[in-house]
Amino acid sequence: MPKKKDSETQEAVKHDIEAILHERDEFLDGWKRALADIENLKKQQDRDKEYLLSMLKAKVVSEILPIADNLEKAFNHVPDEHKESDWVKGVHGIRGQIGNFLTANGVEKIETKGNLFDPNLHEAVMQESDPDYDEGTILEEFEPGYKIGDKVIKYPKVKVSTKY
Amino acid sequence: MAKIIGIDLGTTNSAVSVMRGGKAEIITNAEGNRTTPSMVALNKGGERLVGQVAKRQAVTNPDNTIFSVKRFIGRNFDDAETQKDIKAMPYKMEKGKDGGVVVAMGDKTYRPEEVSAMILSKLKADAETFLGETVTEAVITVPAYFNDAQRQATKDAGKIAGLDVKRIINEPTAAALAYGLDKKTNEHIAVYDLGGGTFDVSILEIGDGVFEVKATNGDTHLGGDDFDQVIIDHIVAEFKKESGVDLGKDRIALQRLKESAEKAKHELSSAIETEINLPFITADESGPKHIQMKLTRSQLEQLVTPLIERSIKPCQKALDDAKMKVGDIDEVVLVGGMTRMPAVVEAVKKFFGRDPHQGVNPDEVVAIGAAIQGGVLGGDVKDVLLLDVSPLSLGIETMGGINTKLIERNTTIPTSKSQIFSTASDNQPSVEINVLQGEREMAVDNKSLGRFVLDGIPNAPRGVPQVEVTFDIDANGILNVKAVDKGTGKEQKISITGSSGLSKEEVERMAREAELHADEDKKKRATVEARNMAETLIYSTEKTIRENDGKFDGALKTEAEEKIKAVREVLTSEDAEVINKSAEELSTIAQKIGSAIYAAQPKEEPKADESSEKKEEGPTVEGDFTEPK
Repeated sequence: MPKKKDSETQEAVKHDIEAILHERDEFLDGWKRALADIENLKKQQDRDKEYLLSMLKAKVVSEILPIADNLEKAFNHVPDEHKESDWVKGVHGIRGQIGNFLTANGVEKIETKGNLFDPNLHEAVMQESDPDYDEGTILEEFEPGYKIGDKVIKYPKVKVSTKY
Repeated sequence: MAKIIGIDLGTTNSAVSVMRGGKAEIITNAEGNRTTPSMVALNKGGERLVGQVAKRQAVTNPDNTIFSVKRFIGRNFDDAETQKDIKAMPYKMEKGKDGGVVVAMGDKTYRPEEVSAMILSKLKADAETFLGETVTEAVITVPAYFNDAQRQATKDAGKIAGLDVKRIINEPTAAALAYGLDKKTNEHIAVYDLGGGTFDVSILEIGDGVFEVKATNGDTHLGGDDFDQVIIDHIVAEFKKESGVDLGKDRIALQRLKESAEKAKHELSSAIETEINLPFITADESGPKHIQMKLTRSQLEQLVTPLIERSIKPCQKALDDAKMKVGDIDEVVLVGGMTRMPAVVEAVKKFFGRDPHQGVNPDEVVAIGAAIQGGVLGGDVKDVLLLDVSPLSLGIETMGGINTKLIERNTTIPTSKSQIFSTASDNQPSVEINVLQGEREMAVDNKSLGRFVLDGIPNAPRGVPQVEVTFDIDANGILNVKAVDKGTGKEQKISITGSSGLSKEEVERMAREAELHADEDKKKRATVEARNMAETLIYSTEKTIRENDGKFDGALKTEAEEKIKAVREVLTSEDAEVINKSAEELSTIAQKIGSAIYAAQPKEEPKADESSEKKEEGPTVEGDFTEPK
């Protein structure tokens, strides 16, 4: 290697060391931030997991609801001559099983008929004027709605009275 | 540093996205949904409702429920197009002081940007809840054909909502950004956007990271709702044919039909056939009526063909305006939920002569692109430290020729993973580590990157030695595989370079093949695993009998020997279930023997011997593993 003046070499080395130290600090900082990010992500994941579980349960339960509602419709149409049959009684038992399953999962029916329409709880699909009722009263329920705690999992579809 | 959110302020629905951890994420709203209806209402109590809640009361409040206000933002009241749209709306509109449109809600009038600001306020508030911090800056998207007045009005809407709009970008540009097409140079991109209510096609040119709009065209009244309607009409017609009942006037039945039609449409995007099953849809004097009909994908495609054709015409017009031919288009991007339909994708592919970009959720792609733009403006997306991934899984060959993966494909590197393995036969003096790369379940179907042997394993029954195998991929993609005998401390290793040196096409081909063979591979693996477990069971049972002969009933011994013989006979079967069934019968006897031996013991001390330990963790077979430390 060609011989350089001592002071020049010293300067160059000092410069190099400073640059390397700076780089080291950058790397260390980056490393620490990356580790911190992982820890924060884990904490966020724990929070998300709980939320997700309750969402999933509500979702699955809400998918059973239309089936349960159809079964209710079926019971609205039992021909008179079959109302007392054993077969119908058996299916009635199944209807009870579904009801118990829903109750066990905290599912409650949302009150509709006669109550004041509230878009936070109901979905209006029709309106009609009716002299017997105040404006904004629910006249009829076309499809039932349900909630778990405060969260509505299926909005009931209702008919609302308008100003007469 | 506060984040800049990306907002897709749509005609019917809006979505918000933000960059987190280098990736664009969709922000769910307060109700837990990924999109929010672009709807605002004023109820009788003077309360303002925005989003889904406004939608639920729209029917009772048509005068004061404002939707599709995007059609009026920055427009002139006297324009023919504006007048046409005004007539279609149930709410009142007037000419504003500046010649624009104002909307009546309650006893006041509002400029469209004030209404949009109400929607943006809700989106802002929900984003703040989601992120846990204040949001003051945003990127908002607009259609490519929006003029200056419309763009300025959108920016004003943001300002009114308390957002500093850092940039207004075009929706097709945002979509192109979401697919990383800003990295291309001198290319032409066609963006096909078929949403809920409108269809837009745009031709863009990309050069030096800047997008230029060459032409736009579309159909402002063509969207997913029209596709739903076609299905509903079909069901109503078929039902009338079958039962004589016309559901056309039955509002409630139509409501159920609409939901069912939408569901069927979604299902037919992946299934060939679906069932429309609506029990007790209505009733007449003869009793209750049900709809139970099949709808095939080809039936659906026939029904929607005129709609799809309607979307192709504007594509040709846009090309003509841009003075281009179909061959000049280099990339095609799909936006909007309807582009999930295979028939739509096919039509687009056929017209443009190339495969369109898919993969990003088409309902969210515009919001995501806006978030990416927000990230770039906010300095989030720095090229300082990019990490690679391992494109294919890495593993070793274990008993029975199985590929036991240690590092899954798409694992971010650098990374390190260890697992403990053991021997397959008694007094096995060495283990051979065959390093495999690939997704297939059986070792022979994967690429062998290298082999080495670790010897000097002291004599021991099978399953007893502990050999820790460590896979380490460094930042340069070099794979180091090390095997250590925990008993002797002896180790052996191998270094493999270029393990991720496969081309993108090769990686994709291997992944495809694995998917194709997934079922048969799983079956093969299940058979081998069943065989391994059965063999281990035979081994441990024979050992137990040998060591405890005389301590239990001879009849049990005979039964066990018979069952062992039976298992041996089915070991060559290719049916995992046959092997498992036979092994289970042996297991029952083995447990009886175990109980008998314990019953014969005078002491009550619980014995933590090998066989009971193994039972808890499962047989320690080469190929079985304990949790990596």
